[in-house]
Amino acid sequence: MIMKNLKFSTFSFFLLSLLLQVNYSFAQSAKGQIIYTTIEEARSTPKSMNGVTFRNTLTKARLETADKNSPFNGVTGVSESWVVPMGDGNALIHGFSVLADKDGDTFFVYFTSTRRDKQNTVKIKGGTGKFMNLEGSGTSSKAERADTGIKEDCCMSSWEIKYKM
Amino acid sequence: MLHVQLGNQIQNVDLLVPISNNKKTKMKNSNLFTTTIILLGVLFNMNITYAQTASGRIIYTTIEEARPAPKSMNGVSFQNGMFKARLETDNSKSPFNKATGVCENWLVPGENGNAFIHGVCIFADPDGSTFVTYSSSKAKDKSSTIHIKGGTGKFLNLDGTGTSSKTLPLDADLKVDDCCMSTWKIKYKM
Repeated sequence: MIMKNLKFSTFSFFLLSLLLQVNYSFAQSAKGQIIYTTIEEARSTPKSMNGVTFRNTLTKARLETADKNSPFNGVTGVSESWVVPMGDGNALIHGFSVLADKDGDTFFVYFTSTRRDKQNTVKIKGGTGKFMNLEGSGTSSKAERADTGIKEDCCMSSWEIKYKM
Repeated sequence: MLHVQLGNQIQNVDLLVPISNNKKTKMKNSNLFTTTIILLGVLFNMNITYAQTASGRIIYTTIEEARPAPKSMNGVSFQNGMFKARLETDNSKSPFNKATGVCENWLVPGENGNAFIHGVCIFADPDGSTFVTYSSSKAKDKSSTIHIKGGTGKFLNLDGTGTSSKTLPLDADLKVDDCCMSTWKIKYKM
């Protein structure tokens, strides 16, 4: 009986470890805002091509983190979002960003969600330099009007991630 | 009971265990067994729910005005290009067969000649039902992990994942303006 219990306990512990591995390995966390700046020549326009209708927008982007010492603070780059109408006012959204810090080290962020989701599940991936082995995931809010006081800033969203690098 | 020798007649020893203890042990075993089943269920949930499979090839056609070109902007360098795309499945009755759409690929230079590649495609079948695929990989990876998500119409609840090969040279049966192709295989539910 004791042996059986021991085997069950070991097996359950092993399974639990597997399940929680992602949370254990993404030991670091960061949060902040991503601010998008409109690129006039890449303004969003509806397109219809090869049987599909969509809208894609390219913007400049920059990150501001709550912790000013975060490796993600002050990084800049480019983001593209794809919006595919789903009917009833809903839409499928795919976003992708390439970002680099002042040293030129790059990483990537992407998400897929629908317009009606309350937030996006984002993935973050390295990369070059210090971000080479970066891997993480988290959430970002839906884009809202930017309150930066800078006219060209079109919109922003807040985000929070767990990562390892 | 005191005279029972250790290692002798285990069955008898077992019978000497008070009934309440026996129940407790059974309860513990039962709890552990239930926990294990739940954990196993969670672990294999994805494989159980992605019950259907599909495979085939995706053929890209160059859009002249959106040819991939190197760009440098706001501190990052990249190359992005847009293509028309169409799917051909090994099973001609697959719901994905003959879906057409648009793909965009991003290529960001990495270290030691490696590069990060991100692709997104929007497809629609002849009925106009749409779905989206996306993938991220490095240039030196042998294959890409792709995700497939609905969507509208019959693809509303589509959800799946799989792999696609790196872009391959064109097969002889393809058109002159087709630029390239890759093979893919997915597990999905819808």
